[in-house]
Amino acid sequence: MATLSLKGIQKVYPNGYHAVTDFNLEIADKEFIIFVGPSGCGKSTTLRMIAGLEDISDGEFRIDGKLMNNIEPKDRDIAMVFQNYALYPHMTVYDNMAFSLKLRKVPKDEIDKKVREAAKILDLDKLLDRKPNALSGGQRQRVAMGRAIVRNPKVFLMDEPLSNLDAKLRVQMRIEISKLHQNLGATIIYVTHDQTEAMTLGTRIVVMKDGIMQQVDTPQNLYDKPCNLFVAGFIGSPQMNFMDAQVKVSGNDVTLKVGHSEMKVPDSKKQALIDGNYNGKTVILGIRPEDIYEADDAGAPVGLNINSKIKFYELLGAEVYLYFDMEGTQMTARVSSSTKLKSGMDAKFTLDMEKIHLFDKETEVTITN
Amino acid sequence: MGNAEQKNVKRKLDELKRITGLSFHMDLPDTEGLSDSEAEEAASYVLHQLDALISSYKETNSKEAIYKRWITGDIETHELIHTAKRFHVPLSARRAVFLVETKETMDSSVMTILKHAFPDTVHIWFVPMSSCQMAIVYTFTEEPTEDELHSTAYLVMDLLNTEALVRVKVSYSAVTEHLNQLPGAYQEAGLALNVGKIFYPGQYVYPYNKLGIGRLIYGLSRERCSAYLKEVLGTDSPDFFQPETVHVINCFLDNNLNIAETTRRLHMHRNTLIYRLEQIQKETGLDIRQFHDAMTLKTVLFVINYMKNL
Repeated sequence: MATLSLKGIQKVYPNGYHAVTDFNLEIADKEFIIFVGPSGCGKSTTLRMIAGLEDISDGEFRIDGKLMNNIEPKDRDIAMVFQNYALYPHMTVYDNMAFSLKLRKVPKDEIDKKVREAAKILDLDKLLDRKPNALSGGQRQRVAMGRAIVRNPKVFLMDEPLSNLDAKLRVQMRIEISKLHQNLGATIIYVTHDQTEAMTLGTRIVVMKDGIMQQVDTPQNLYDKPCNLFVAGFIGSPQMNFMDAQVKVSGNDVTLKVGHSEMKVPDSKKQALIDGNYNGKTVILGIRPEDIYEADDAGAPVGLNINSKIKFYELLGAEVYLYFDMEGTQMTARVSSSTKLKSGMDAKFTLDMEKIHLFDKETEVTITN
Repeated sequence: MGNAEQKNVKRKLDELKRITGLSFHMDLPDTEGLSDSEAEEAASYVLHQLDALISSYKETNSKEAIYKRWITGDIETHELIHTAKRFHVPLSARRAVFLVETKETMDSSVMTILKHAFPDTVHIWFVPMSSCQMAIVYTFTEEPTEDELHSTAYLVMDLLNTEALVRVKVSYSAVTEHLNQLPGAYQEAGLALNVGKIFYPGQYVYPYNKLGIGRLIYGLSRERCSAYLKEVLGTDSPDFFQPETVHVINCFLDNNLNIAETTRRLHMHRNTLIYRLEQIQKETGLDIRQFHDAMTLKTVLFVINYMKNL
């Protein structure tokens, strides 16, 4: 497989629009890299530059050390799986997978070997004689993957390959792709706007916004240590709760004032506020829904207690989302489904202050990580 | 002329009859008194002329050639009706034209892939229009939705990207009701492609009905554009709009004239951005912190971009 290097990559269109700005990334062999971000953030454009389907305006892109900027897509040794896949309807699964190799005049026995190998990996070996209309949605998507696998490329590029599938199939295919990565030992770059796909599939995730890379990290680190407000809000569902808080430093104690509530900042977080000269300034406080507990829960940590009224109750089976107001900000708590709380009831919550995130209000950069 | 040559000529005449439906008779030249090589030369000349006639007829009357004439409108009404009948094509049907353009010259794999992916030759016609452009006339059995048209265009694009590994842009027309409306649809798809490439280069699929202000500006003469720029900026060749400046302007406009959002996106200090905006005002006379001036400058950028492509 392959290593990829992207240095200072830019995409500027002739009308002056900057689609991607200063993109730097080193991708190791066999990595599963995810580009994630909202619509228009430049993730697909970056993938298309890697594929050679878009010109690179500036910067250097290398595969295994070889400069690729001006190499045609067909000479880059890549294979792509996109959102829309049209299988050849009158061809069998076997022929669908073999077709691109036939066009490239690959010898028949080599084609046969590659197709059968790919079919085995994808569990399609018993379906090789079927035509696409006799396949399920998931099987068709696997054939589309098979067409990429038979090319035996250095890099697989996937652009939202699951977004046309229904929710159940998407979960199933997510597992298939993960298995595929393990079995092939392939370098994969995968674009999605779905953060669940990103978190479950990627060895590393690149979060993008407005054409700019925000953070590159492992899924766990992105979740635990987001580098800015955007990443904190984008990763995690339901998203992190945010509210304005005023910092007050008195001696060695640091407190945060949210409306009328005042909370003591734990030792692990306060030094950054003191060092950053935040006394008297407003910062953004973030806390994930699972870090808010029912106060009388046996497992609740020592933290800030707040009283509120439950506005909405959402049961998701194993867990419940509770929506309530805290000093004018709508909050979400994720609690066990054994909770007795329901819509309209008064409730007492505890915020785990060890788990709070603080962001500079102006730059939106994390203060406490 | 020897027997073999005479047989060859007859075969060619039969082929002409088969493809044109017309009977031909040819008085073969008298080769008596000619040497063998002269007779051979005369026979070869006759065969060559017949071959030229056959290929010329095929070129202008093949299915592909007729489709092309239907699309470009290079056909009289009576001939349109006649050829439609000949190819068993109903005059009334819901058809849309998809125009596919590749960056490099299309090789045969593009056509092969498309023909295999869309094997329904009755409802889907592939017509090469130039070395880089192909029209796809798609006949729908029911009125297609906007989403169906859009996803068909995306399907073509993704298919060619992944299977042929070529760069491609696709535009499409509105749905027409009659075969004689195809030239209009083709022009519509062509306009969408041209406008899209200039004004929305970051997109790959251009629908006929999503061209925005590009539709208005496209087609303006250089003189009109120059006059507009002179009116707004005092010059028709402003050298002020360097890429970095255009980036700042675009960012500010994209962020709804919000200073804080723009500074965050540009990683720029607030005062630096304000200084840049003041410089822009100094050079252009437009304070883009005001909505009216922002709108004017956006139009100016559209016009400048368009003029680069004239």
